[in-house]
Amino acid sequence: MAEEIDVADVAAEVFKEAPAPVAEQAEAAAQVAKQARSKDYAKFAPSRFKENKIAQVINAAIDRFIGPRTGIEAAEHEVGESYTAFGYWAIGADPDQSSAALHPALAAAWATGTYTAAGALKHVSHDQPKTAPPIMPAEDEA
Amino acid sequence: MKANLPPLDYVPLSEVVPGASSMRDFLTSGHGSIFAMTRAGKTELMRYFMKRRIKPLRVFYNPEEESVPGHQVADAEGLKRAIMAGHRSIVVTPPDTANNHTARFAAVAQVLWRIGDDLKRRNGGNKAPPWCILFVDEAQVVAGKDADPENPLRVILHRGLKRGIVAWCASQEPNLVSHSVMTQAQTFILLEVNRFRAPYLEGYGVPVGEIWDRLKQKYHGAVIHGNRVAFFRPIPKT
Repeated sequence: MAEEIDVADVAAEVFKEAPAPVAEQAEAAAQVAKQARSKDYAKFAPSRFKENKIAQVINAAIDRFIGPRTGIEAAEHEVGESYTAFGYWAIGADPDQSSAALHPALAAAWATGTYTAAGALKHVSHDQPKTAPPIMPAEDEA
Repeated sequence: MKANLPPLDYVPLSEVVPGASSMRDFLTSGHGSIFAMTRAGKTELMRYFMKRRIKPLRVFYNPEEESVPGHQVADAEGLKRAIMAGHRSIVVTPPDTANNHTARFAAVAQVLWRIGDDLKRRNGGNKAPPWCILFVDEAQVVAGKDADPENPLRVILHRGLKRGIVAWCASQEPNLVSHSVMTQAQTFILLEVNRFRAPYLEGYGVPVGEIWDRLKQKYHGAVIHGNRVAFFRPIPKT
């Protein structure tokens, strides 16, 4: 009987209120980033993202830049603008001056958990993304 | 010590939990509790459950930031969106691990509760079929010994099954979790546990004494349902 339930459909009906505006989501994302930054984010970020492919990008950035070369300038130089926008969030860089302002949709998607590996990789491959990445189907379920 | 035991896949679970002919049946037959000392394989076991391709939604509340497979979200809002997007294996890892898990978990529980309430209503007010398996790691930080009756985990443990929500709580510290985690569990999974926990578990009817010789060994696990016990090897690390 449980197999007959489409939980996604039920949830869509239950939570049918309009999603929060992007600006609000970006603010929520900023809060998350601040919390991450205030903690040991080198510990925080890898575990949170370990299971998807973007984690490899993030973890590599963290491994490389958190430590003797802490700083986003190095990240910019190494991985370029579009990667850096995402990397700012991953490494807890200042959201007020970086991705929150530049990429609110990106930040919102990250904060709300709709940022999937495929979406992220597609997203970071373009400079200055303007729209939110698509919500991708689960990768671990057929 | 290498255990000469079958992995959980090969344990005839239906002989332990009546009617459990599949892993899905086993996990949805009622609430469960998992106790183990650190590094005994507790998290590995829950990873294994999360990896299984079974139909019900699986949500893992992850206060210790363990690496657990599934769609990763940070809070209840992320969970809500992930469910609506069709994800069925979702890991909720709160970003601030030190603080206020009761409130954070309450928001997560509220998302599941609302869906469960709706399913119960659709079912004419009768019990909703099990649609969600909720794993709660380090359950003592969500519902500790002194948790009040309105504690969200306690509420799910007492009233969640009617709404199709099954909870599996895990802890290293059975003596620190809420009374409800002990009394509402129909099935226990014990891995290697400290000897001084045995009397406490036995106080709740878990027959630890009779199986102690096995449980004190590394990489031994036991599924316990009433007086029925089956031993297994907790995941491939032998």
